[in-house]
Amino acid sequence: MYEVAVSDILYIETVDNKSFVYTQKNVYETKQKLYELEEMLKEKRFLRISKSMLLNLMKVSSIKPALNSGFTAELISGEQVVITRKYVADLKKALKREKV
Amino acid sequence: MTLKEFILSRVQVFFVLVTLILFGSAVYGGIYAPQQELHYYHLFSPIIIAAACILPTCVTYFKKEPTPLQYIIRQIIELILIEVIVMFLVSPPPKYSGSEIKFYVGIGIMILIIYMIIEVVSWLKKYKQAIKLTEQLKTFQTAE
Repeated sequence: MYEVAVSDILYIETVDNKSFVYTQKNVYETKQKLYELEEMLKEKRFLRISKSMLLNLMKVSSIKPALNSGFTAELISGEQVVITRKYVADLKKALKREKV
Repeated sequence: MTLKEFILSRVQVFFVLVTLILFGSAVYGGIYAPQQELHYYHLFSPIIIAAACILPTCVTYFKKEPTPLQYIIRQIIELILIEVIVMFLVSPPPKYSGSEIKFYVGIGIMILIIYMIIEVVSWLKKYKQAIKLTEQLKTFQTAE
């Protein structure tokens, strides 16, 4: 059992019904479902950016256009994650501090 | 992209297309059929062709997020459909000086150039949007 500081989390991803918490150095598996984590972390600047991913907006260094219709978020770790077009509107709202 | 956003983007593309087709026709006609006289009803041609070209762009609408490969394949299909539709709609003018094959090859190249311009414009628009989002993100992060 590990305790991870919310501020250390880069993103949370679901793969094959398992949720994984990614920090800059480690990956942790959690028993909680993505929708539960989303509810829990929405006040902590986390945003759903695809069907399977929650992103910590505080860990994003830039946003770039993707070849398909969405965008790509580059994280402070150098990793790139896809913001699917369905969630682009939510991102815009979140950055303007409107309720998502 | 929602269906509403997609339709709005198609309307924007339509107006860009009308302008580019008009410009392309003026250049192409000026080179190969400069003595050709046009009537007022000919001014409808760019509008009709642009409207016809918008229809195949519907193949690039995805309900689910496409992979880059799926996106590229759909774009190629879209370009082929546009080429076929335009080739079907246009014919060499009566006072055209070159051969028919040369005319259609020229039209094909013109469509490709217009298509590339539209893609570059769309990409630049998206790039500008990404820069704006990054600026908003920085403001968001510093405000915390």
